[in-house]
Order: sequence, then C-alpha cells, then structure tokens
Amino acid sequence: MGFVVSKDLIARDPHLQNDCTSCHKGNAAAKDQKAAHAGLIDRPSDDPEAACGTCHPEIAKNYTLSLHYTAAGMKHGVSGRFSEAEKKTFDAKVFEQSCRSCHASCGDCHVKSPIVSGVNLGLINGHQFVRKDESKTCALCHGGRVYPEFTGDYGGTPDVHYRKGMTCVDCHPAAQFHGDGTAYPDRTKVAVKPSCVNCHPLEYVGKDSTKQTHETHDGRVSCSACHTASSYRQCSSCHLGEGARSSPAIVLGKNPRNPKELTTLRLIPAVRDTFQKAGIAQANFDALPNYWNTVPHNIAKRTDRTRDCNTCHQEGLYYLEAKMLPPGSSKKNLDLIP
Amino acid sequence: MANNSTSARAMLLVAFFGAGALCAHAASSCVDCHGDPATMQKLVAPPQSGGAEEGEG
Repeated sequence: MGFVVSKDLIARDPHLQNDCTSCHKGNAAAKDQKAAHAGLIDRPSDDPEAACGTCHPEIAKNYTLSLHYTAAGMKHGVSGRFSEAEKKTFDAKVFEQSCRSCHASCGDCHVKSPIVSGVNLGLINGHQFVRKDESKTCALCHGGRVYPEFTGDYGGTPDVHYRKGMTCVDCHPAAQFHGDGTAYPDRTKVAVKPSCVNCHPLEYVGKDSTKQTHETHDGRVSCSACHTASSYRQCSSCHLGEGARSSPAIVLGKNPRNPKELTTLRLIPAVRDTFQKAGIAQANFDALPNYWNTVPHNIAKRTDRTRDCNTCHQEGLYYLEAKMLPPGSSKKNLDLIP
Repeated sequence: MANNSTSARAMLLVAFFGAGALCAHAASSCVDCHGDPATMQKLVAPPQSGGAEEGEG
C-alpha cells in the first residue's frame, strides 16, 4: 500500500503503456506541481465508459448500471419511509452528496483502496492494475460488518469458507460486481446471487437424519438461522454524519421480505431523526422495520442450533423479543417477532 | 581490432535502444514525482483518523 507509483510497472503493466495524462489529464510537460495538475482527473474511472470502456466496453457499460456504481440499494432501502415530498428532498440534498459519494469506481477495486471515512490507504501495488485483492478493496467498504465476520477479525468464529481458503469472489463472481446490464433497485433483486444450495444441494447433504432435518426446515428456516456460528454485528443509532453504535448478537426473527421464514436479522441503523439535518422527518418511518434479513458471513457446519433442537424449540435462545427493540424504533419491528 | 569494432557497435546499439527506453519513460514526467518515494512522502499527508462512520457492511 502507499502512494508511490512503481516505475518498474511502466514496462510491465499494459495499462501503463499510455501516458499518465491519457486517463488523468493534467499537463505532463509542466515543470511545477500546480501547472502539472491543471485539469487533473483524480479518479478517471468515475466515468467507467470513458476511462476503461475503450478496451473493456461491455464491462464498463454494465458497471454503470451496477449497484456498486449506482448505490441504488441505499436509496431504495430508505425511500419507503419518505413521503413523496421527502423523496424529492432526499434526492436533492442527501443521495448524491452522501449515499452515492461512496459509489465505487473501477479503480477503487483494481488500482487503489477505496477511501472510507476519510482514510485513504492509497495504491494497492504501485498503480498496478490488479485483478482482485479482497483484503485491500472489498474489506475497506464492507469492513464494518461482513469482512471481519468472515475472517474472525471481529472476534467471533471465522467463516468455514474462509478457513478453507475461499475468498469473496468464490461466492460473489465478477459478474455480480460488474453488473449484468440491468439496473437493479437493490441487491435482493439481482438475478444471479450466491446461494448455499449452489454448492450444497439439499439432496446431497449428509446422512439420513441430516437430510430429514433439512427437509423439515426447508422453506421455513433459512440456512443462516442455524449455521451462523457466532454473534455478528448489530448496528444502531445512525444519524446523518454522526455514525452508528454497534453491539454483537445473533437475532432470529421473521424475514421482513418473507414472513413465513425464520432467519437471521440485523439491526439497521436508521432512527427517526436520521435525516433531520436535511429537513426530512420520515413521515412513514413506521412503514419499514429496523431489522432486516441478513446472511452473516461467519457460517459453520455445527453450531449450538444444529447440535441441539432445544436451542430454538425449547429455549428460543436467539429469538427477537419486544423487550429487545430499541426505544422509539419502528412499530413494524413487532411484526418480526416469532 | 575486430573485438574493438564489435564492442563499439554493441555500445552504439545499447546507446540507441537505451535512449529510446529513456525517451519512452520521459514521455510522462508525472512519475518523476509520483514514482519517487521521498517526494511523495513530503506531498502526502498521513491519513486522518476515521470518523464515527463505518463500512457499508
């Protein structure tokens, strides 16, 4: 990591065969910093088609419609709480300035680490164009919850897939990052998503008793409800620009997107005054819950729920209860209590 | 004498292609600064410690 361009790469990386100014503009012939940087484009791949599309036209075009670029998931995740007037205010004052300012350019994954909370770790490897380097790219934006759950850095049990040597792209192939040419409203609508049964079809799982257990719970309990190894991060109290507090827990409740299914829930940090500074009171705050179905990335074959039916069927150990709900949270949360 | 002549030719070739390589690199003076650790250390401030925000998840 760092900010120094490796001169050795210039002869080796085909992306660097053109002059720096072919992507970054500026004036390479200038003799002082100010003149050299006149007209500089710091992040050329913010415009994927112009920067990368000359050689990678299909990927670049698809990427402009992908969720990593549009950040549409953030917009649609909260818009259900807004009146029509508030939606317009959100679009004008919040979305581009705040949510979408985090969109990833091509370079954020292939050249440099994305800047998170103002921290810029710089180039992945001397401005080399790398195919993938999850710990320096994915982990930066998804480092609040998913990645440290996956590696165990958060303090819990590392994901079994991580322990077997798998990385992000083994389940999330490049097409998911680059998009497939469709502008999806959020990740739940994406056509091709990772699924446990892609690699672990139920008919091939384990001995007869295990098959019976899976058949009994199929469609009624998610995989993660039983196979989440340990506590994962729950977030609360997010205010515009002031961040969130977090606490670890396993929470089981009804899937808000499929109430017939019991699944792992994650507390999402939206509170009634989240957008107060932007003049948005969230007229329909109670229309959406604060808990959403999630797949924690600390999966294990055996957990206290797979070992002992009583963990859920007698004790209901991790079930969402009314007394657990944050004060003043959405009334819709009550619908998720099993 | 023959050896001297061969050496001279070799030196000419090295000089010719070497200069070409230098010219190719010199096409962009950006790396004069951006490829120099000492210069970049002076120009790039250490990262500020993060705010209260966290990653997307």
